[in-house]
Formats: sequence, structure tokens, C-alpha cells
Amino acid sequence: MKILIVDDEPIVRRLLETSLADWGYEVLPASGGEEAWAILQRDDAPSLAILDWTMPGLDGLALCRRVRGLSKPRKPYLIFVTAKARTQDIVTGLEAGADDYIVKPFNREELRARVRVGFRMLELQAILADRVRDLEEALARVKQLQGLLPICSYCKKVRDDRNYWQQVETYIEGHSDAQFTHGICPECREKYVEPELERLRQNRRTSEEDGG
Amino acid sequence: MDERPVDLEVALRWLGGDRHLLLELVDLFVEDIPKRVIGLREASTTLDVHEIERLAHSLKGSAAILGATGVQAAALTLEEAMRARQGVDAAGRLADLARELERVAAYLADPSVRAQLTREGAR
Repeated sequence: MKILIVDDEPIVRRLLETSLADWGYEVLPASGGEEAWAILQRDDAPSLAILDWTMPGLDGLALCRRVRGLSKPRKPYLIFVTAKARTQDIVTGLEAGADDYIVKPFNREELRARVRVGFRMLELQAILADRVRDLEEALARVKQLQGLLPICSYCKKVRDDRNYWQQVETYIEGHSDAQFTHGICPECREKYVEPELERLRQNRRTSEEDGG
Repeated sequence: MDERPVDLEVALRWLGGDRHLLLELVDLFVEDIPKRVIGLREASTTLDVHEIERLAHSLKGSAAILGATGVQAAALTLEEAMRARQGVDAAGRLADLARELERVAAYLADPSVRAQLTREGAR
């Protein structure tokens, strides 16, 4: 797991670098906002970044706002680690889009725990994003059968979107996962089949009488 | 005033007892002191209030990590004075901070202090 650290103070950078490396993270250090911004725009950018606020040039707050404006689907988890300790600073930092805020000098164990929380959040986000993608794919596969269908009152054909009249079963099979198996209901048997059979029997009798 | 300018025990607590790391950070800090003093003096001659505030703020954070309480306090005073934009004695505050930094540099350069760190670091 890769972490970007951005701080202009060599001591803080070194302390963060050593601590995070000890805990098994891969660390990418940057000494200023512009350098960090360039790294964060890359495709292989770290998914978690630890930012100082007060830096020359692009400061942490401006960097945070820029990152939140990125059009990437997965934005990095941002943790401020700064000596700006007033409540108003914390509020401003979080409002600018940071996910967490730690005041310097920081306790290493607390930092470690908060970094873990960050990766936990990222993992949750990734799982949710996968779920949503699966659902979207499933939805795309399910064909839509809804709305107002124009149907012929006599032959029961349905008019499709391209203005063709289709047998109702063809239409439904084309717009859903349903399939048809054909049979004859008792009423129709009596109404259509029986008279037809009777007519055939009649024909046969007539031809036998004629032949005999 | 005889108080030690750096409380390395405080620093060690922050670093979870890692003396090697402490020594490394001390070196980084000492190495940067001349550059910081020059930066602060330059900003004060050009009356760049924002820059003085920023430099003091950054220094405050690093000093806190090393337990350099005198520098930390002087940097905070300077930072707050700059933020308040009062007609304060900026030059006097800067001089206080520079003096504190020099005390820290002298203390950390003391061979007996370093020997203590390296010896115990070799545990």
C-alpha cells in the first residue's frame, strides 16, 4: 500500500517516512504542493496522502481543494498533519475536502491507527464501487418490459419501437427474459379445435359415402 | 535560564524510544538552523509578514517534535504577532527566536549530548 507524504519540513518528512516504512507501507515523499499535485494526477498515484498545510507555493489547503476537483472516479484519502491547531483551522481543513486531521506534534500510534482507518475506508469504497458496477451490468442485461404498449384489438399484435407490428409473444420475448411454450386452453379447444375436428370428420364421412 | 533548550526525553517519547531516529532528526534540524535564521532575517528586512508567519509556523512544528520548547514558544509568539498584524516589535521577536535557535544548535553540537545519544542508541 502506497502513501504520499507532503511536507516542506525535512524533520517531519523523515519522521513520517521512517514511521510509515516501519509499518510496512511504501512511501512516496514530496517536499511541496506542486510536486505532490503532479504525483496525484498520475495513474499509479497513491490512494492515501498525508499533507502538511503550511508550505511555500501551493499549500496543503489549496492542494486539498484541487484533489477534490479531480475527475478521477477514485479520489485519494487525504489526512492533514499540521501544526495549525485551532478549531477553526480543523473545520476549514475538513471542509476543504480532507478526510482526517491530525495536529502536530503527532503521536505515532495515533497516526498509525488513523492511516489504518483510511485504508479501511478505501477498501469499503472499492467494494461498494465493485457492487455498483456489478449491478449496473446486471441491469443492462435485463431487458425492459414496461410502459404503454400499443396492441391491436383484433389480432393482439403489438407495435414495437420501430413501428413494426409483432406477435405478442415475439414482442415479450424480445423485451424480457420470458419465453413462451404454446398450448391450447379449454375454452379455445371448445371454440376453435372441436369445430375444426368435427369439420374434418364430416369431410371424411362425405368422401367415404361418395367413394362407397 | 539554565534549563536545557531541548528536552530529548520528550522527543524520545514522541518517537517511541527510537534513538537512531532521534539522532537523525537532530542532525536534520541542526543542519537547517543557519538556513532558517537567514530566511527569517531576509523576510524581516523585506517586511514580508506572510513569509515570517509561515517560517515561524513551520519551525514551531519541527521544534515540537524535538522537544525544543524554547524555540517552539518563540516561534509561536512570532507567528501570532505576524498573524495579528499588530505594530509589534517584530525585530525583537525575531531576535528572540534566533537566540533560541542558537542555544539549541550549541546544545545539540555538545559532544557529551551527542555521545549520550549515540551510546544509548547502540543498545
